[in-house]
Amino acid sequence: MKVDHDEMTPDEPYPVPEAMRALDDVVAPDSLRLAIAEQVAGAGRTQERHRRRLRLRLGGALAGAA
Amino acid sequence: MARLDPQALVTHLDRLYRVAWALCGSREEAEDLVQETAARVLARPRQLRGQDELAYLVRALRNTFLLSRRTASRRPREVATLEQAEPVDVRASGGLGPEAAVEARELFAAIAALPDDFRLALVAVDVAGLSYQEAASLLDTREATIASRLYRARERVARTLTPAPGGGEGNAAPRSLR
Repeated sequence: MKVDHDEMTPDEPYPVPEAMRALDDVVAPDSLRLAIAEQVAGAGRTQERHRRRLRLRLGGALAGAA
Repeated sequence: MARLDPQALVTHLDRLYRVAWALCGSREEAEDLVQETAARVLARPRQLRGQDELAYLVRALRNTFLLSRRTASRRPREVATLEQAEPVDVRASGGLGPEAAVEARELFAAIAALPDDFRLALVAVDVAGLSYQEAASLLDTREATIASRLYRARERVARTLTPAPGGGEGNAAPRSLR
């Protein structure tokens, strides 16, 4: 590994503070979980519209080239 | 080329929420940030371009965060403090009580108070769980720089969570270890 001369860094990494393990127990609230689930469910429709537009554009380009 | 499965947002939601909270320092802003990121990501099909889904989503979250911060730059910036820390949702099955919840919100406040470079490195590696290589790619820097920033970020977080000198326990253990 290259040494970063911009900053003096000890050779050994600083251990992860024990307190940071508490982060693993933090979970998204139900309201956010529900909102994201709805967004994901709607994404299928949105992305299908996007693909349809691309197909139409491609079809138009091919027809124009023929 | 592999595409992002929209379900990845659901799969990684808890981690994304933690990353957002650590970036914003506010629970409400974290929720908004995750939703805004999801809206942007889901607006059209996304190519992963060699990244794994989590790295892709963390990058999108970080970009959305930076964009929103630039947009809001005229407003005074709110910095979370320990006094402003909010209640935190924790897994009931984890057997964690109020003390663990307090530790978690103190920790978020400590992370949010870090300088940007240190905070982004710590969030990428320790909160998001990215490798040094992925973090370096995300932050457009070298792995050695990530290691250096991470060292200082962890050191500061540990120091913040350790009571002032006088306890006689030197420089190591955060409060939760006692």
